[in-house]
Amino acid sequence: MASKRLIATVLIRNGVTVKSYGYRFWRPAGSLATALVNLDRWAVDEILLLDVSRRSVIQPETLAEIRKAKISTPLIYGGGIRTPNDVMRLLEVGVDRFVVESLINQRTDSLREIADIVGKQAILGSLPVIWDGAAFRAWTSSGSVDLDVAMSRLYEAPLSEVLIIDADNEGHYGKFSQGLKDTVLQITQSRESRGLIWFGGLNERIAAELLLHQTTVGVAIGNINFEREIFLSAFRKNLHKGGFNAPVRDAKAF
Amino acid sequence: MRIIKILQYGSGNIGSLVSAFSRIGFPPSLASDEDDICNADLLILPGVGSAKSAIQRIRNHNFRAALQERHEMGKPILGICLGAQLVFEFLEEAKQEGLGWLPGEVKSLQGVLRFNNGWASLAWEEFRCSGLSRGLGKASTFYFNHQYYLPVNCSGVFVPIRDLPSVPALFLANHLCGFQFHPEKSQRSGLIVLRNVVQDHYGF
Repeated sequence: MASKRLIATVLIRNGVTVKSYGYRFWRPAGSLATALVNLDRWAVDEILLLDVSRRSVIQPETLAEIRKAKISTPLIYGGGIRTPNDVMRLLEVGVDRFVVESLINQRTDSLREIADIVGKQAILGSLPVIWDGAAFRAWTSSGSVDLDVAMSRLYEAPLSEVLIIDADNEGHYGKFSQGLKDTVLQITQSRESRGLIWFGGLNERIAAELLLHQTTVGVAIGNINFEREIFLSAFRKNLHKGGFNAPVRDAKAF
Repeated sequence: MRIIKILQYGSGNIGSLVSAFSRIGFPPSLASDEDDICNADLLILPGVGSAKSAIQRIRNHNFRAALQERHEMGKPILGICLGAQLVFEFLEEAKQEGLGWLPGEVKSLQGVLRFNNGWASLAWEEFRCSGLSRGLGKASTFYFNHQYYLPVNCSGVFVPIRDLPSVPALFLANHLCGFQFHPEKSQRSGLIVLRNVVQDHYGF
């Protein structure tokens, strides 16, 4: 099978590239096109672009920046995808895969239509998770939901992979919740497999540990430090120390 | 200057393909009618999505006859991902016939995850013998994102994925060439293999 992926993440909020701290605090982080071009040049496995605006719709400025970047690295986009037309607009500018969340809970017909256009392999379901003091719960646009119920909905949906977000610890290096990992893996154990991608609070040791699990297909990092050129290559090398043999590709220009 | 055209039938990441071919020195344009399909020196069949909607779109655009004519003339056609799958006889996903230019059925992957998403190397000996490996090495990787896979038959050269020997990554069959992976999204390796297919295989 294909190798497991180190996925670089870029967040945008209200049209601006940002660095997030637990989805509560934000800092502007420069031009989107520049971030994409840099990540492309550094030969990351995939780039995950998430629009985390409160009421996100796909911004024409974002589409223009993606088009301008002309990257040759696979690009995943999430945030504000509601209709097949949204997906067509994203495909046109160079997006390869699509993260959906509210469609899974509210507009399943639209999701089936999208899957018919791009194929299940191109769709990922997003699952932001929070700790409410007593249990881990899925954080949806209509409030928090029992994690088991949310996972069931995801596993019934036409998609190939699930993006599990540690929403409490996102933006805090090395603070990823081990309890979240254990809970999710326990829930998914008895279900038909979907590839899992973990995001939020990861460091090299935690990422390597997650990547060794059979159903993990990738780890998403980079909101913290995507502007630092050496961060991602250093992260990849450090995964080796954690026991995971991350392939290194040639980052030379064509 | 050779004319490279990308079939515009509403299925595929055309922007990335235009960018990739431009970077290797063969800027393409879009094929949107029968003349474009028949007259181009190389026709690219892109493909992202479900086989059913791709076949439907080819029908809706009335491209089927022109594609068949081009194939019968033996003019170069390069299929990418779903575009490569469409040239076979039958597509399990769509439960209907493909273009039928090569024998075999495109079937669903089996196994733990049922999808092959990510980067993988090709079986080196077969890749080397295909004539498309100039400038690449054993460790070169390519980006895959698929649930269905190409059948193997004796009508051409099939190069498998290194760790999935029963799953072809590419095929060459006379004027037909197909990539299961996305060269336009495979960074430097993808651009090199595109250059090789255009220059070394098709002789442009």
